[in-house]
Amino acid sequence: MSYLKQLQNGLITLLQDNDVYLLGEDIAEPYGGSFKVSKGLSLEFPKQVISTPMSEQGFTGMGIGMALAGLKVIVEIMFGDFITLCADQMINHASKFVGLYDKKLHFVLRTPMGGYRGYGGTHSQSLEKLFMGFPDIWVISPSILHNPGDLLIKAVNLGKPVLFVENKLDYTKNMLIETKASEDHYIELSNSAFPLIKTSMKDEFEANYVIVTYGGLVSEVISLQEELYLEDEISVHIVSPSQLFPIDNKLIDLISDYKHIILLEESYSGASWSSALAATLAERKGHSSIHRFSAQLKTIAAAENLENSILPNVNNIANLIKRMENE
Amino acid sequence: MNNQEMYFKMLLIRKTEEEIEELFSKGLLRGTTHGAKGQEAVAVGLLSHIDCNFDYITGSHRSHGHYLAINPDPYPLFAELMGKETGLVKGKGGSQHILYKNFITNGITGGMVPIATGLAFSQKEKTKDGICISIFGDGAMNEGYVMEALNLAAVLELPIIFALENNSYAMSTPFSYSCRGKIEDRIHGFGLDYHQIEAIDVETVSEKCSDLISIVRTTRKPIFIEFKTHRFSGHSKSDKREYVDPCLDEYWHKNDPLLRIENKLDPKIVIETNQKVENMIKESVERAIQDANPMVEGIEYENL
Repeated sequence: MSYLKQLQNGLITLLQDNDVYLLGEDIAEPYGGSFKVSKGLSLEFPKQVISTPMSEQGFTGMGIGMALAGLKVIVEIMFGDFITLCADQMINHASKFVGLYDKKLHFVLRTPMGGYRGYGGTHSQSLEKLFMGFPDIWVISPSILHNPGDLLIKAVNLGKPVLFVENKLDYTKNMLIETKASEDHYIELSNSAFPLIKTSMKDEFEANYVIVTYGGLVSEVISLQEELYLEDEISVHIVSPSQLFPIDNKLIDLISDYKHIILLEESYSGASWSSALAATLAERKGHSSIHRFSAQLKTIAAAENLENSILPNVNNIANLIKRMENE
Repeated sequence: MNNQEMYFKMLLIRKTEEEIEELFSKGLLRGTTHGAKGQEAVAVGLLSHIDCNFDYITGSHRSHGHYLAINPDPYPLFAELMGKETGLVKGKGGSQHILYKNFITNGITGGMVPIATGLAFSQKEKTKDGICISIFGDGAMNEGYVMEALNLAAVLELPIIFALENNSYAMSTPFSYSCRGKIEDRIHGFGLDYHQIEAIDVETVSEKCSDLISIVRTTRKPIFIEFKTHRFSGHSKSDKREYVDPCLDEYWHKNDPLLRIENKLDPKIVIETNQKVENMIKESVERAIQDANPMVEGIEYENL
């Protein structure tokens, strides 16, 4: 089953409850959303799936107000780049209703992030870091390892405002568990509400290297894991959290046992998820071999070669690991 | 609500705001505060018709008066301002962040207006005649998301009253400077009904609001009310009001809404009400001062 289909199944399960609403731009028929996540849903749930005017600040606030009144609300922001417009309502309103007024707020802002598609500087970014580091805002990301539908249901039921970060390239991919690649991988998951997933090549229980990443880059590192094992006989583990913020203590405990930790994200480098993880690992665990890969601090260009030079490239991780092997 | 009750609430608001200024000057309060002396007729005239267990009301940074019009008990407000665990928000909110039943405020200008459209949406979907009232000042009229909220309410036909308290100044900036067109024209531009009420005579304000509230309960459609009002308080505690046009002050002192209603009452009732309000405030402040500070909890790591 595809990532998109699982996400849609999660939405359909949620919408069985009359108190659940989905709001966003162009989400109703005949368009069904820019990435077709809500395709057909407005026909099945006409009162609950509502296309809005192009007013991200306004309808994010409206959704938060609906949640304040006890409804369960999912707001779709068409491109992740537009969440800058939602910041005041999330940071100064939604999180304060939880932190100051002790309200349970069933509110999820879901949006696709990510580049590698030639869409240019304002439609290719990974801006989830803008919502990390705040009390009472959670940042959750599915991937082809984590069932996006299940995670969405858990995010809606959490009772705190959630930024739910999808990845544009993931929609059409199949879940790893249903592909041939899964036959060669051993997959373990933690029992947290928003699980951590660890993959290794079959029988490769020991590894000196762990690559920690989430969202759209998971499929890239799964291929890298196979390649390093088959071509260079290097065992690498992958750990992928679905809970990006608050940082999961289990994640820190799990990855700090590896000799070399490689953190990979699509966000701009510096002051980001990987920086927060690196600082936490250094401070709490005294870990000293931490390597970060992020986007360059440059506007993401449209031309393919330029875009690829700015966004992280997993070949650089392969080179680093091979270099460390030879040292 | 009769005139005596409305006078009581208006006097309670005026005297509470004065007491807050006094407590600040004695160094008994931290932080800041935004008073609403002079604007009492809006709070009391508009909110007397609302059941706060059922309808929703959103306020702003300047909302002590709205709270007292809904719940004429100053004690939990004083406790909140003093940062006590018995405060409206257990001391976490302070002057700008108040919650009482379905009345909720926040410190970001205009920010609660989009929130109010969501509260109104739930009233439309889940109740037969519940409504939401969103109260904000003229500064909010130049915030983008307030304009978005007006449009959303019109498009989705939400049972909401947008209640603008136009006191002519956004902090120190005159509204005549910051808004070149007429508010009425802006509102009509969204396809919304516009009403204007000068908030001097609380009886008139109350009658007009009662009619408008009934209309929204029945039609389930949004309306906009502009209240012309004036604040005798500064914008916040340290404001000397140097920017206020003396002619405007003179007009509103001559037409002080508190004196307007006071003059309609038996002098004996006025004296009794003053005594009652004075005692309430004195007792509330003395009690709040004695209350415990909130517990500090949930510190997970010493350094993060």
